[in-house]
Amino acid sequence: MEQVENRSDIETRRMELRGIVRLAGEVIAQYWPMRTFVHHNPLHSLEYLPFEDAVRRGQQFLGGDGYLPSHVYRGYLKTGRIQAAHLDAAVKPLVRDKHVVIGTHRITHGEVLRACLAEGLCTPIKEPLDDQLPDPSRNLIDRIAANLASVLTFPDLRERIRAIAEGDRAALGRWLTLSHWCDDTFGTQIVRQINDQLIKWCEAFLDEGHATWSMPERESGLYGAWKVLAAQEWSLCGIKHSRRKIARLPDHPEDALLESLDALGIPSDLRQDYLSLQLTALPGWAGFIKWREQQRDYPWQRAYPASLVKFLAIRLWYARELVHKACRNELGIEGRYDAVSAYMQNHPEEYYLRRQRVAGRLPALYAEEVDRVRHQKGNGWGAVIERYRTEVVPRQVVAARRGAARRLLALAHALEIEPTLLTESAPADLKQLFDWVEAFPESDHGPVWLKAFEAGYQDRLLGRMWTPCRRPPADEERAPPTRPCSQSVYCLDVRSEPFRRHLESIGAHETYGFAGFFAAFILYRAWGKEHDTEQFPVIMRAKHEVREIPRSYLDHRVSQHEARTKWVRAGHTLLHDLKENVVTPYVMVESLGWFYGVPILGKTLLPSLYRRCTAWLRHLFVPSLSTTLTIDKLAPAETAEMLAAEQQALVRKALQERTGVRRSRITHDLVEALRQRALNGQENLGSSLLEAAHRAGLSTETLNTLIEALRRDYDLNARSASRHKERITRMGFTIEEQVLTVDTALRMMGLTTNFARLVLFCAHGSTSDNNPYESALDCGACGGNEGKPNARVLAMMANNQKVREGLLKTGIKIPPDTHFLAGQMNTTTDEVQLFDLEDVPPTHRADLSRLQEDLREAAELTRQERCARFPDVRRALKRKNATSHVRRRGSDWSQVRPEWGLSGNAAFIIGRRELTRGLDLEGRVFLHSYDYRLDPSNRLLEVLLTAPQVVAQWINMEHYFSAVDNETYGSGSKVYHNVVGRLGIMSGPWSDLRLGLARQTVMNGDVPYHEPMRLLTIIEAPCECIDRLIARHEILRHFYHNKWVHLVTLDPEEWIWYRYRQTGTWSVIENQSNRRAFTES
Amino acid sequence: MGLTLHPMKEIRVIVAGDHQAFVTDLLDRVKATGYTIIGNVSGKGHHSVHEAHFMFSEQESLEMIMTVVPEEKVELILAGLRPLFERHSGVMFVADVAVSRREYFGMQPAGS
Repeated sequence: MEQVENRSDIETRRMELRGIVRLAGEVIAQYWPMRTFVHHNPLHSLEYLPFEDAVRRGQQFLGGDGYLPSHVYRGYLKTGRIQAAHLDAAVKPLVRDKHVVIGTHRITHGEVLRACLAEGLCTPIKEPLDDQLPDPSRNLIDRIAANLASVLTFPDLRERIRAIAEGDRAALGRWLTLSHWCDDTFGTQIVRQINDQLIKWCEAFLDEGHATWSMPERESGLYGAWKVLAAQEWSLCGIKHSRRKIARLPDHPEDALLESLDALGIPSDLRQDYLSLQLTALPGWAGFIKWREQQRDYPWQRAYPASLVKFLAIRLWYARELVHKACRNELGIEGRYDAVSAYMQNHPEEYYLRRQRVAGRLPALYAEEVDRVRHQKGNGWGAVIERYRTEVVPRQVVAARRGAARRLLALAHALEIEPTLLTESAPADLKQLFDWVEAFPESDHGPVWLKAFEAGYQDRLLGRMWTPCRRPPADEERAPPTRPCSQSVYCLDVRSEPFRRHLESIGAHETYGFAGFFAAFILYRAWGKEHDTEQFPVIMRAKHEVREIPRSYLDHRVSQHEARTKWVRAGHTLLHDLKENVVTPYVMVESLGWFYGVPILGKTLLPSLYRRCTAWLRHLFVPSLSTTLTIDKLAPAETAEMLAAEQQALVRKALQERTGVRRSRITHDLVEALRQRALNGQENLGSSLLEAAHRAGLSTETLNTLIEALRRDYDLNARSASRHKERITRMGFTIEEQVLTVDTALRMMGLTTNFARLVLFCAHGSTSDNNPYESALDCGACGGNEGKPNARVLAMMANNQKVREGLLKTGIKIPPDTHFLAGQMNTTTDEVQLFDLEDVPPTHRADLSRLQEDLREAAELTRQERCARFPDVRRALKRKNATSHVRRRGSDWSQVRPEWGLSGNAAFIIGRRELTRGLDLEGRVFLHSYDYRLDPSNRLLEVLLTAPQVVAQWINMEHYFSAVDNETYGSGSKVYHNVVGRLGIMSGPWSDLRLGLARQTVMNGDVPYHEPMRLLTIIEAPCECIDRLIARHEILRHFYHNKWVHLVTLDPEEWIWYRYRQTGTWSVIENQSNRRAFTES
Repeated sequence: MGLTLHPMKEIRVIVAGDHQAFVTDLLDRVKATGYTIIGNVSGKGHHSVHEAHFMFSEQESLEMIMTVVPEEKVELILAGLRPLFERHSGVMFVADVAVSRREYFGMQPAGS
């Protein structure tokens, strides 16, 4: 009875721990593998906090800055990007109505703050203790310091020590792990050691086929594999008896984790935060494990399970052993939370000296003293602190005064006050000035600068959008609409904006913006590939499966195509295996080495030509097939046929693998009979089956074992057959689903009347070479893939006659002469490729050729515009040169920046194209078409705000944080990147998995190219509608009330602009003549 | 032969789609024999009304997960879900149900 109770008690503790680990893991962001790079907000889990608090928390947990360095902002102030008026408005909330009189000058608090920002007066004081260098202003400083002597107090040493010890005791377990504490106090490298070990194990375990020699024992999971292998390592990190200790660890990772937490003595209310801290030490690897944990169908995860609990179990074992060792060696105490806390309370002076020594803040003589006392483990601490107090502290006091004086001098220079006045002023006034400067440290400047920075851009954008001629005429005054030449729908990606602008300028083309997945949530399998891709934003879930199949008239070419593809694949595998084998490279280098010289020379010297040649060769050998997509549901007969074909393939495979019967002897009858038997035979084997088997040379016994194997190992039985059948029936859309999809899509973009003869759905993708980030340049709305399948799906659906009949019932009438096309824009070269042109009716030939010509011209204009933005292009390029330039960029394997991508993104506009037509938005704005008149219940707007806006905010925040602190939130320079495990990158040979964007993506040398600002959402809809939606969705409240996203609305009836305030109210934006109104207050 | 019904417990959990994977993983670990998921439900809670739409993201969708387990597993499941509900919105309730095939739902037949 006792044992059963204990067992359930242990189980309960395990389950609870899993819940705690899940919550602890929310502090790090998931990391999707690079194949489908997903832009996400690194501080996503902290969105429930106001932006400034979240950034501060991010600094505490991850050590990252949340704002650009102040000198960069000051540079912007000088160049005029930040205007003085905006800066004043941003500082205003901090200004108190006080002033000080120095000589004849009246100095207000506001002026002081302004000077701090503009002149950088608040950098920490670094005054040396004994100053030997000659200083021209020394005399002046001494006099000011003397003036300050009476008012500037320096806290007593004992007080300071006490405050530090108290502060650290409170932080222990909450912001500070025991390992960090040991590093700070003893100068050990525990955290680095633990990280090194974890990186090693994670890298080996999580590898996805990149390693030639993979880690053994992975089937037991991350913890099990580590337990087996680490026990065989010798002297792990210097931990004694590591082998025995690891062997003694429990089998369940939860139990091991609980044991380590108990050994470290972490109180239960601090456990969740403590585990969060442990995870943020390696946010890249932990983030990837977090992602993998949630993908239960991911084949690698099914084979080799990893989870955060296992990760933490391993990490905390190292932590506890190393902390125990350090504490016992240095202090002779247990490495436990309570013991460490007691130490800090009982020996605050010793603690203070140790800390200062490790931080390098003690004068050299004292540092040596401290080292000596440490080694002797004696009681010399009291003596050292006494000497410190009498000799060093007075000098510190003097240095502090001089530092303050220096600061006041700088302030006087900034405010253009005669410095000598400072020596004559009342000390109280000087103190007031000094306090004002101290109360506004550099760490508080960031939010102010950011507000001013954003105000400059928003000012400009709104000012341009708000010209009276932009207001669309009322419906009565509107002229009857003419039919445009074409209508095209682009992804709301910022890179579509320049193309749309140029296309509209060429002819009577209308353009729309829509989320790139075109409302089709599909799991897509391309022809010839074995894996599905998820073609929708990662925050959503798959609903339908669609496959690409060759067109029916090409049946005879299919087998030839398949055979050729198999040859090519075999060739690749052969070369790869030859390279990776231990012995063959010795021979291969001599025989084939010269052959590899061709690609190297080609790719380096003539990249575009090389790419064209290889493409041509590939086409020659394996010509591409025209394909179509399985959009409609299969008829029951077709389903049965497909199922039978799949099962027959399984039987053939089993026959070959298990019995070794020759291919020629396997007849169709045998396969079919075996299949039927495996599925439903219970009685004796049928005579036809026995006959066929006999002809193939199989005995009755082999037959029986084969059938058993088919049922058990190859999953060919009645139950799984019905499951497979269900899966096949999930392929495709019913007519009602197709009608719903097309209806939603058209209504959401506001395209329900006045259809042109050709309507183009244009997705986007990109091309680059040797770029681990290439998926980041593809369509984020399609889950980091190119959007071609989605565009084709929607176009085929909309061309379907039955769907059009269904649409009539929902109120959308598509004229019979409208044809829907699918296309894809290559954002690196701006070429638009059209698909399924066989389906275009002959009546539209002229329209099609005109559209293609206009698309080509728009592409050329867009290329020219984009080339002007590359830093390595100094002169404006002619059209032809621009074309060849972008082609070369896309095929050059040394190019770290094939295109700027989404850098520069700043705003998201939801509204009609009339608001922005013709405006040069510099490719920085996400545009989604929306017509509020077609959306009376606001359901469509609701979807827009909770899905595409979220994706845009993720993109915006990813760029923001990668630009302000590229080392912490970004991934550093591409030059040092190494692809690891086929899933991510490390900097150098040994580092955390890097998250975020590379330096070259957001920076132009040392200057940021992407202007880090929070997203500005502009919605063309009445305010009450938006209020209702905000009340219904927590995420919108997080965005707008916590100031992650700015919200501006344009009331379409009244034509008044409103800004949403944190308090939940709207304030009218004044006309642009009164610029101040655009900024926050 | 009459139909004997055996008492079991049904647990229903309604959470945001984000957490569905965690809940189903927990049920698997507890060795519940199975569960049913009803997706995209609408409803009203302490914070807001929620109406479903097929284009909603995972964060915004609401799912109901139901499972039938023997009584001894209830506490395990509650222990595992308690931390989740401390921070996130959602509900969980336990009801008495009766099933006829108790071995199918994981209960050992009487006498073992």
